[in-house]
Amino acid sequence: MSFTPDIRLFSCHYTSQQSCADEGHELQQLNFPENVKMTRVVCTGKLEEITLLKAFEDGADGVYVVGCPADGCHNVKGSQRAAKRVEAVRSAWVSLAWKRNGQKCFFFRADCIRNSSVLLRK
Amino acid sequence: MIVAERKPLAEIIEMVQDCKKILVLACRGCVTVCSAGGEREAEILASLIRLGLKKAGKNAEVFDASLVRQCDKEYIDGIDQFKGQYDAIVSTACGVGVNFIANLRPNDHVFPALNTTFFGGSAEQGIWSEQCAGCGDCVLHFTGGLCPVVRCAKSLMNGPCGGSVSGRCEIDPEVDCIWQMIYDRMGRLQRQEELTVSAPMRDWSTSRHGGPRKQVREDLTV
Repeated sequence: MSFTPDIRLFSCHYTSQQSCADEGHELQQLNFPENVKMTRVVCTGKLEEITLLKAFEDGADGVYVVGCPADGCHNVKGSQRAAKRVEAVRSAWVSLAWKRNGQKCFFFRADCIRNSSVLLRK
Repeated sequence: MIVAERKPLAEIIEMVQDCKKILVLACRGCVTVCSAGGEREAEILASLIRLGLKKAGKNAEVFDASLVRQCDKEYIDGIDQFKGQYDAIVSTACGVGVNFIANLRPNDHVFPALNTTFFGGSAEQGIWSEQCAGCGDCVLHFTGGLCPVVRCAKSLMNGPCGGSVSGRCEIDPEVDCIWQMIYDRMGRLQRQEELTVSAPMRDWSTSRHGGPRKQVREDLTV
């Protein structure tokens, strides 16, 4: 039986504006998986832990956050904050020994987004 | 303020594993300021409990709410609004709050979500340090405002021990020797001479050694 994971992507506005241009046609051209639901945020530093957790409660099998490089965030420290929050959720995951459906949480650098369809397929 | 930190998640999940309706109750006092048990932390904890119980195959309703404080009867009475909606409370207050719920709600199950750590302050974001022991007999007027009771590993009252090296405590080179700090500060304030007066033998009965403490202000009681 094939399994199509429900993946939620939270992407920084400054990261995603190019990819989301033209009603997302560019993403389609990049063969971006349809099972990935993208939410743009003003800055990944604005993302709260609860937002990531709610995505899992909502049934997501994986959540990933794409933001600017740690030393190149448009809002200076937003990416660093986001990386820590992703780590907090991942740490909670470890303490709960939660492995159902292999649920995972990642933080990617902005320059990964164009290659993330490849990463996701892995 | 009272400083606290969340207990390990697995410990909290184990406490509530047999509960069906759980109220995660935040406190908007000290534990909000130290980011351990405010509304945001309670919401996160409620979500984690839901996920943890789901993983364990348990079915439970978990919701979060908050009180202004959990260390006053008037605010504890606010729990009444949730009557019938919970069979256990997970309090994200300090130990005082958990005790107050237990005192005032004799038939309610209440569990602590936090480990209450100390009375302290935050000199920089995300870092807290202990500053007061609550010993009940303050000596700060003799020591330039720096507390040897809690900030000296041995609670020495008449200067440093022999383990102080380069202004650091022998228990940890990251810990300042508070007596070195007191000496330096009193010097800056031109009060160093005061340190030559021996502190009298200390009466610890005002501290924990005299059992649970109570304070009555007749002018405030009604």
